[in-house]
Amino acid sequence: MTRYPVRMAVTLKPEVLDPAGQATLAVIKERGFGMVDELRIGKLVDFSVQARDPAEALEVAQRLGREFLANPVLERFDVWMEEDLRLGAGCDGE
Amino acid sequence: MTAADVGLTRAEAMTVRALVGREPTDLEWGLFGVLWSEHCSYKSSRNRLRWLPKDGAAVVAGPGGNAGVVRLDAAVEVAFKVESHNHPSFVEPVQGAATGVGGIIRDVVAMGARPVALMDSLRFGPQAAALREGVVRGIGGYGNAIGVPTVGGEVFYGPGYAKNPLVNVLCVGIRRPGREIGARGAKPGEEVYLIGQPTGRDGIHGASLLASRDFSQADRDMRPTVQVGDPYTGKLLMEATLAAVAAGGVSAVQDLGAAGLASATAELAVSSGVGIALDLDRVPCREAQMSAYEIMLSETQERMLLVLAADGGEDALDAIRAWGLVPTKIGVTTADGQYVLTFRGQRVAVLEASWLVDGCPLKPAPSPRVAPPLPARTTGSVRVSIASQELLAMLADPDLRDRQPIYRRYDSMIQTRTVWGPEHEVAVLCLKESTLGLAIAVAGPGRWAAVDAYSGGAAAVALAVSRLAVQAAEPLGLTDGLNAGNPDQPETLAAFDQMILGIRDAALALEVPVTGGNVSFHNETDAVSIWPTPVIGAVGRHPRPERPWADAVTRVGRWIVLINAPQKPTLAGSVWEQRTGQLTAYPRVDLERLARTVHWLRQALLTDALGIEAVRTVADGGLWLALIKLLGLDGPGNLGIAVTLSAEALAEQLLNEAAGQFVLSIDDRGWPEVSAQLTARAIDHRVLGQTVAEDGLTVRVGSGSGASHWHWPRTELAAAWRLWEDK
Amino acid sequence: MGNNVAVVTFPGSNCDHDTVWALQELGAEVVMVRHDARELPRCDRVVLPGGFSYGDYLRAGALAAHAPIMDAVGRAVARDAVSVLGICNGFQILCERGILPGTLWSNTSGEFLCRWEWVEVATSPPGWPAFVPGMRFRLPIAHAQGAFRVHEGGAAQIWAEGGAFLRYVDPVRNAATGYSPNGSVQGIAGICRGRVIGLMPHPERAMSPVFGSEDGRRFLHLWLGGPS
Repeated sequence: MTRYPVRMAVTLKPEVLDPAGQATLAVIKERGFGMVDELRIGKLVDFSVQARDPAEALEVAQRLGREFLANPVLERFDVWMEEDLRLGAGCDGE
Repeated sequence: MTAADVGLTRAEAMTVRALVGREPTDLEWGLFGVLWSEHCSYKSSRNRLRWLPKDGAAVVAGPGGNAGVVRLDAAVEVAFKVESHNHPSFVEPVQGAATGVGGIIRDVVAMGARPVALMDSLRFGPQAAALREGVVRGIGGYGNAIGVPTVGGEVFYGPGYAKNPLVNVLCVGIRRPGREIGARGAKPGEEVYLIGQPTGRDGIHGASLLASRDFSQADRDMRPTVQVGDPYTGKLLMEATLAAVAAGGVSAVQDLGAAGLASATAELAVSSGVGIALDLDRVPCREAQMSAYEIMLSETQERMLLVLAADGGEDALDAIRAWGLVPTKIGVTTADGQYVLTFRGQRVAVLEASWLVDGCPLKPAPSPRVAPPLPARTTGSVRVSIASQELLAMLADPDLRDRQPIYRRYDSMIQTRTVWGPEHEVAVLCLKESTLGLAIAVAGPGRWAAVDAYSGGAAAVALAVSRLAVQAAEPLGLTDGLNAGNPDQPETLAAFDQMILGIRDAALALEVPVTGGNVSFHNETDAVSIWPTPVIGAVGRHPRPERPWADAVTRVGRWIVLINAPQKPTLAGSVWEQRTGQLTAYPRVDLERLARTVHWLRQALLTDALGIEAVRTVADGGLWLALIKLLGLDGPGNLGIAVTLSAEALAEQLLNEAAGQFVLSIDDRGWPEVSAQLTARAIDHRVLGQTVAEDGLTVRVGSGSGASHWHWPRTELAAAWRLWEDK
Repeated sequence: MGNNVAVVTFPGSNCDHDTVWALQELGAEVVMVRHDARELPRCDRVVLPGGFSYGDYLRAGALAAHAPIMDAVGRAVARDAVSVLGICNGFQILCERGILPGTLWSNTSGEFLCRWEWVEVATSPPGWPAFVPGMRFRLPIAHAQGAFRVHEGGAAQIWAEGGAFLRYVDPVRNAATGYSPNGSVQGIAGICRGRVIGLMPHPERAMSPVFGSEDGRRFLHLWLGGPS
């Protein structure tokens, strides 16, 4: 068994309203960051998985995302493993 | 696009074609679909809601508007309504509950009233900790941030609510007389403005499909993009709308909720008796390439529709801009009653506004409308014995235990009006605008309506009004949240009818009008329906809010008196019975006697010489829990209550939940006169015992050689009542 | 000592009117100031009231700390020209702005918490000898992010500098140290630096026994009696 570090970004689905991102963007644009746009706020979750191989670790991470870390009604998630090598395609959790 | 795609029946589609006189466009089908949905049209309930009394001396605006309005005094009017957000809360508990709070707040704001209080009535299944936590987080997250205190509420559990949780929210607001506003004031030739959140693809078909059909697993694909609550924008919208109304030049206000712009514009047009012409290209959108259909049906939250006089709306517009919102003119009102939508230069819908709002065929209401006969008793007369440990265990029942772990997550004090908050059975607010105050209560355990919905409906009104009476508060109006299963099931609709008749009879007997409310059908998933659940909110005129009457004893040597104890107490409909697994028909309330009682109580409390020290109702958990709360679990250690009960039907005496009962503590001087007055009014009353210098609750059972004796110190009662173990 | 008080309203402030009312009850001359004002009006004191400025979505107070009015407040504080009181969200804004040290983090429970607490003066703020150490107030708290946190060693420094103004106390066990309803380091409920005070509890909600306590009236009265 090997320990695989995983990083997961949980973000709101693009069509879902993000009040936090909206309020933040409005203020920072007024305060000298007019060049910034399309700001949306999500969560970054770091963890490690004990698994036989990267594929199994990825499978565990995706299951964790679907069942716990992301809210399938509102959120999607992306998974990164091993030196930012992006193994998994984005998954909306449904 | 077909009629079925938008949720219309074949017969309804034929009616649409007959009205329009041609094949409607896809967009027009969509408009009929949402506005003729159960959720918007009230097609199953509208004829039945006419049974409810709506007139009263204090009524300023009755049912049909965004909220009912009653008069507190010459300086203050009160707008209030209960609304449900059941289905969205099952799909997404946090956002569903949050947008429920936001929605009812906007309804009150649309009447030109500042929201000053919220209460929630929640129902969950037995194993629902995760769902409940989400709902509580959503309610708190929205109410706390927008700055409206949550001053009370109730939470009950039952198997039918497992996949059909109920989230009913009551909002109460105040306004000065002369600030009448609402959906009725628009005149032809005025300008229609949209303010608030840009429109996204949120919740399309939420009302027509999600809330107007039963759930099943197969429906997952129909889930719309969930609306997200944004209390920050909600706060700006609330302030901007109230500032615009105060600035003048605003003819009408309508909030956008279920069915979004479609419902808001059509209802405003019909309420005001005008036509409306909208240019959909002007509607600010959050997402690119939105179709006219999506713009009209979107349920994006935190939006409000305002109609401004063509000349003279500038002050209102400035007031809106001062809150950082951009008012957008999206159309005009017209004189012809037409409902015309233009998109990308084309007229994409041309209808009569009244077809959308009043054209839907309504279910006829049955008659004659008399109280149904008592259901046959199955059990309920069975005598049960009871042990001290069982009584203690009951205190931790989810329907009875301390609610502090929930309500401490709500800001109950903001706006500095809360004299009594969620730790009491009735909220008391004092107002800076009046020496009178508000008493606010909700009531409506589904348990009581489970078998005999008539009984449950009447009892919900009885309890809500009784809760006002313990503060000598005169009820000004009621709002009803009616929750039920699928109205196309005859037995569901029959129970719904009985629930309304129960509410009607109690409201008539207690002389209080119903000024508005909400119907939520289709609380039915995988063929399991909720109990018919009447949630009654009551608003009353408190005579001296700065000095509420106590609901716990304060001194040794007071008589403990029970009023209106049933002659033959029964456990039917009680928590005890629910714990045994088989509910039977909750008893009928003696409404005439209750009317005499609350009338007497209001007078008696105002007469200091009668020496009433503390009073509260008997409700869930019966006399047992009422005595514990009258004792006060945080009270001093040198004060207790000692009562004596007869050995016969002991459990029934302690645990029956018949509405209309009160427990009081009364001093020695006043008791002879109190007793004489009650006797003269044929109101049953009995001395149970008195307050003593020993801590805790003592119950003596029987007399003579067979007598027994129970004693529980406060710490033991508190430990049992405050035990939470369902996480 | 003047009693002209400016109360700042940010978008999302929701205790501003309660605070204005409370100060007026105590005879103060109150003027309300908008978040986008570039200068403070002529005043002796400034109150940053409670609420959810800009929704508090990013971090509580983080966006309000950058509002134009806070530039003006920062300049006035730097000149020692004004006394400032930050209540709840106002305290969070002062910390985010760096006018007060530390930060307010999520409660240990992870949840909003609204209830009555006792707080005790641990150290008299400079200029306010009337806040005597050991003096207690019963005040409500209502916040989700009220746990005072500082970098390692920061708490000791705040004590050493005399900035540890208020701490929570448990009146039942009468334990003056270690009790905290929200996870605040050393139970700190309020701090001060110069003439700037921040606290999480809401004195403006405790103006009368009718609302559960009049200790907030006593607190604000003492604050208004201090330097201006």
